[in-house]
Amino acid sequence: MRPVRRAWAFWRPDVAAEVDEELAFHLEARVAEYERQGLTRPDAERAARERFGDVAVVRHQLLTHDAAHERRRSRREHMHRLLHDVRLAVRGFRRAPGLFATAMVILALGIGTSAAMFDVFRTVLVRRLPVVDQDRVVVMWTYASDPTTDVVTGTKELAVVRRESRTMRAIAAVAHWPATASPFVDGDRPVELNRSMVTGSFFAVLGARPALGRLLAPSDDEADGTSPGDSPKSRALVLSYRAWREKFGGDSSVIGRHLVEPLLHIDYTIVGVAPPGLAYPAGAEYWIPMWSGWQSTVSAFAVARLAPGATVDAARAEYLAIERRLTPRLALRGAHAATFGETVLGDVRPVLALLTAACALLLAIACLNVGNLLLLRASTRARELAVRRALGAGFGGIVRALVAEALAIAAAGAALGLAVAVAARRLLVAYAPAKLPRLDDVRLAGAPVGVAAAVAALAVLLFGVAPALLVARGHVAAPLRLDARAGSETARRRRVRHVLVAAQMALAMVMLGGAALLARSLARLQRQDTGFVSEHLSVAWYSWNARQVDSVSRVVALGDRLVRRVRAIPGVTAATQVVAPPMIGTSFWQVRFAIERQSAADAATNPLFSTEMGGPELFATLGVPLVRGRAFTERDDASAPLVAIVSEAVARQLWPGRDPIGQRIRVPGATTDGIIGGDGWRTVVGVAHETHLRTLREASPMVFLPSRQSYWQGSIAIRSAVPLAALLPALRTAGREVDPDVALWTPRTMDDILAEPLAQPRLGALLTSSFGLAALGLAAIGLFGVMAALVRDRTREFGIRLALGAAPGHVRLAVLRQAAAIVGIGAAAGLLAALATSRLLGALLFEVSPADPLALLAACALLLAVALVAALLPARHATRVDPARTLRAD
Amino acid sequence: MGSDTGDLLQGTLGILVLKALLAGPEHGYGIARWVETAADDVLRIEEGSLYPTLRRLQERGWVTSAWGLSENNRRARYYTITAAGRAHLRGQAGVWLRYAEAVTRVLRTAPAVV
Repeated sequence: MRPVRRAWAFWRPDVAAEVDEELAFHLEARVAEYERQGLTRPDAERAARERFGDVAVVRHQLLTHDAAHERRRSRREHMHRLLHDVRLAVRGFRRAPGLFATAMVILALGIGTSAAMFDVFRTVLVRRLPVVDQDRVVVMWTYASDPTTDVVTGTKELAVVRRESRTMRAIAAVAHWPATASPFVDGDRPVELNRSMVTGSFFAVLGARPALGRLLAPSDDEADGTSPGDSPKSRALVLSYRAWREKFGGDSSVIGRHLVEPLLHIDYTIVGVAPPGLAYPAGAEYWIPMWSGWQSTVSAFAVARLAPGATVDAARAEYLAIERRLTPRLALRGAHAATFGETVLGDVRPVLALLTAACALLLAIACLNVGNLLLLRASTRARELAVRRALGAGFGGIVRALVAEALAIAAAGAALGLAVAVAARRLLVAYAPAKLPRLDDVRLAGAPVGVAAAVAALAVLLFGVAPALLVARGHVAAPLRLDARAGSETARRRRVRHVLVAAQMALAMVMLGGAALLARSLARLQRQDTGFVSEHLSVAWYSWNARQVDSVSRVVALGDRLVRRVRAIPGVTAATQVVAPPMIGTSFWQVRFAIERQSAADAATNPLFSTEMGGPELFATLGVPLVRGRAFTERDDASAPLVAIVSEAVARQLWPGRDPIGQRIRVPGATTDGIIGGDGWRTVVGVAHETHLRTLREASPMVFLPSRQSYWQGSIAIRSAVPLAALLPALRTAGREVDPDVALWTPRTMDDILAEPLAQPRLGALLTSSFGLAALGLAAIGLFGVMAALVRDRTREFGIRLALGAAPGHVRLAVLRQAAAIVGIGAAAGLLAALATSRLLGALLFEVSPADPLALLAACALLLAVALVAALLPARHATRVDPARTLRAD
Repeated sequence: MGSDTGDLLQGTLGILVLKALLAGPEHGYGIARWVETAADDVLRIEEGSLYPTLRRLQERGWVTSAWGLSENNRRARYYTITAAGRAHLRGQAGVWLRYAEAVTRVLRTAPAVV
């Protein structure tokens, strides 16, 4: 009890009791004096009080004074003790600077990376989107074949759904194509922004509030005209928060500024900025209203606010029923429905969850590692603590000193960790894929850093203080009596340290296994045979004056002239019009072709195919081999019979077992205003090799049409013998020469274009590998630490064995055997854990099994190799022991 | 013993306390008794005001205090004058004596009132 009482001696003395005692002494002495003078007790007491004055007032004065005084004193004393403890801790640090620097850096890395990652995770996935009740908003579309790529909801039908629905309170529509880059002129500055088109009610259905200005309103739909460009009036445009910050410098004077789209010469007015964290469809940088004149022709996602009590499933069922009734010929197979939250965040959840888990593991390893270091220190300071106790240091004092030391390490680690977190977050945001949602919203909040630091502090306390306490609690003299020969590490503590290292090895194995799987998946994706040759391939996008070049045939004719001119540039080996750059996604220019001798109902169930349109050099430029038939020629123009080339998969699906050459297809419902040739029959003249022109992961069955018999919208693919950068001046001149109003917009190499679908896998693989390597490094340091301690403790034994003639190899083997046990158990446990958890990676892996033996074994081999090096160094040291010296050591 | 014989000024009481402590450490009651005796009961201090004065002197660093045992074996707080306290007393005593002398001289000049 006594030490405890002493430890708590800084409890404030009882001020009131002391004041009362002092005053009572005075009064009683005075009473005694009066009694000696002959007064009776009651008289004496009264006289003493009179003589004293008002006891209550004096008592109150003294109490106030003493309490204040006591507070000041104890504060001073606490400061003093704290300084003392800190001085002791600093002295300790100075005695073992390597250990403390290591502990601090390890903690900082663990805290910093995990805090940054937790922060991104929290901002992107956990925090609510800037809409009202994101789980009551549902995104839906109907499909006839593939639920993920096939969007057949018309906006015209949505008006009926809006009228009849009982499950949905309000419905908006979003044009189904992904947010794709579109050029603008801002004054005299060209700026490229990702477009999305929505009905004016979109923001109201979401319940989003503007960051600046106003958002779109239903009245914006009602702007006249049947297609954009018809009206001389300026149209409303809402910028995304991120685009506003990054492309307009966060300037609040953008409201009211005009942007001109040069292709169609439409004038837009920026009316507002959307709230941070809102970018739907993914990557959207601005929203424009879907004009009422357009609404009937555009396929769209329905974005609906559920009525009170209605479920997502009920809304889906009702929606599908109404759509089926309105469009029986489409033979809808089903409807896709997901809440707004799932829709926006669904794609990034796996990779972010994975990275966050990896960071948590890293933090765990960091804690185990620091714990190991501190355990080692606890054992070496058993004697120091015993001496301090023997010299009269109280148990409480030692506790305080240890806690101060542990907290100092944790605090230093956390402070450094904060810096790491800031840097890591900046890197993450800078290198994250552009379409990762809500990055404009990521700020470093205190909470994640606090949590990570608290975890680290707990670990430090647990490993740093607890074992030291066990030592300090024991009999004061016991450790002093310990002969140095007995070794400073007790067997039990050594076992704990070995288990800690094995645990680190296991966790590192899990992380390395995951990283190896992702790296292999990335390699597969990068080596993915796209079916075209991406080297020396670029795509340039031109714009023109849409007031003069105002019909499809004129645009196509312009494209034709432009391609000829570009083809003449020295260094260009092939050039062709394309309708869109590769990797644009499957929902772009998807057409449900009809084939001959097919009823309308059957035709409506045909699959949708992506469509590409080009010139005679289309296949030469892309490097796509033709399997059969011929390529397009100069003669395939508007006056010639319409032709088409299909990919192998299209041929298989439309004419199974038959020769596709000579078969005929058409675009039902097309008009000559929209596409040259309209809905006329097009004869298949060739079959092309399958390509991944639209998405990297999957082959895109494609129908190719000659530009001069279809459409063009500004893109030219170029195969060149020189780098794109060297061609740029010539490409600009080429445009101006064809037409003074033609300008080169966005030239991009194929490598740039391919970087986009690879960005997320690259980030995942890069981060998990670096986390995995960091984990491996930490685990190796941990192993090195215990092996070094082991060798040191057994120096004498080894010395004797060597003196008695043992071969150095034997001694080395004894050490390595111990290391092998630790590493083996850790690696085996880690391998099992990796196998058990890698299924969670499934969604991120591309053509790699979660149990891929090559990846897991490679990770395991790396772990064992590094562990061998970490164990070999102390083992070699063991054989260098000089027998004579060790024997003389004590 | 009339109440008109001297409500002491605040600062004056401090000087008396310091003077009382010159003889050695003393508790509050002892100080009161010493002042009483030394002044032949002419200077009557209100004993209660003694303690706030002692706290004030302690704050200034002129006295220190510690618990000890009294003559009849009871716990009492003893006050001790510090070196700073002695120096202060010397200074203040000089001022006081010159002041008292001057007032006495004035009162003694003719026509005498006493």
